[in-house]
Amino acid sequence: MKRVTGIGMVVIAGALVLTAGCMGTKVQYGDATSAEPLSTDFGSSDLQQIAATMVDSLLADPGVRAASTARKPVLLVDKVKNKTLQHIDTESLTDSIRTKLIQSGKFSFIDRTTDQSALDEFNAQKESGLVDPAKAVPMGTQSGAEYILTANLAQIEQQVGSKTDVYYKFTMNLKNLRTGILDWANEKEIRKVATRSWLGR
Amino acid sequence: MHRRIKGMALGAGVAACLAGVSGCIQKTSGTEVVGVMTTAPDGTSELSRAVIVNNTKLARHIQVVDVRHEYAGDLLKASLTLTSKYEGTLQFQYKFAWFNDAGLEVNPDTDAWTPVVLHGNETRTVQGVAPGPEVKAFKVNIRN
Repeated sequence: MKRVTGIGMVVIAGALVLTAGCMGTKVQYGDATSAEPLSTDFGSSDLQQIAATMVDSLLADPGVRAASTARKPVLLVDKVKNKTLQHIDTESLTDSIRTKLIQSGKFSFIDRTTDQSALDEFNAQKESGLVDPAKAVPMGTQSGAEYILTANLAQIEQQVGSKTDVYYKFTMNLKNLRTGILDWANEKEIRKVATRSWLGR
Repeated sequence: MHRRIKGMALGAGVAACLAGVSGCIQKTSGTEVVGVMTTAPDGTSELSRAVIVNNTKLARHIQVVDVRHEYAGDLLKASLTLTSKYEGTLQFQYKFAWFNDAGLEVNPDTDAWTPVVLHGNETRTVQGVAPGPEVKAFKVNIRN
């Protein structure tokens, strides 16, 4: 009887050691491109999915392709209108879209968020006396945007009992500044559902 | 009585071991679909394709039934048709990777895993557009 209890204890101790290896706080690097949702909040995977869908659609659009065959059209990305209930860094979303589009080599972009820094530098070149006037960058030679990318991010949330259903809709438009016409538009929908288990996890 | 106690102790221990181990190990291998553009002697380009199964359980549930391509201007566009062989709802994810003529990945680690929900016996197409005109091959990873 004693031997039996001993064997059982050893096996259970072994199990505890194995289980203990899985318990506690463990910090490790994760996959930045992973799609493992931790909550129904807007997450990194949602941002990456939206950026990829928008860029793929824009690059494959026949009308946009025709406009970008002979030369690179100049685009400006407007701020995303965040209509969700969450604080979302929408600039990060448009940064991802802009970076992918620049890397495609099909478009040129202007960035109005850095205009004040550029103006400060122009003034420094002109007025500080430090810069050779022949080498100073002349003002008034920059390109203007031919198109503006505008976007909305909307959220519809429903909660019934232990179930939370969050629907996100990202809409992006490409507005031709010369004609005022929307030359391209696309939507990406994401639905996230969370169910709280009765154990409280 | 003696044997019964011994059996119960061993059973409980082994069950705890299995529960402990299985809670931490999750199979993340899946199916790889490779497509390479080749130029025939007459100058026409065609897509050679291969499906590599690294996870037989997943492959039993999701079948790659078609791999197609077209050019959107000078950009390669790839399309995969996936069919569920499972009656319930399947959750999986896929990721595109793009390669140039030399076999180097173009803009590595920029494409993200995209989650897909496939209902019972549903067929769905997933598509990707190459990030640049230098792309001559692609790989799609599919996993749980």
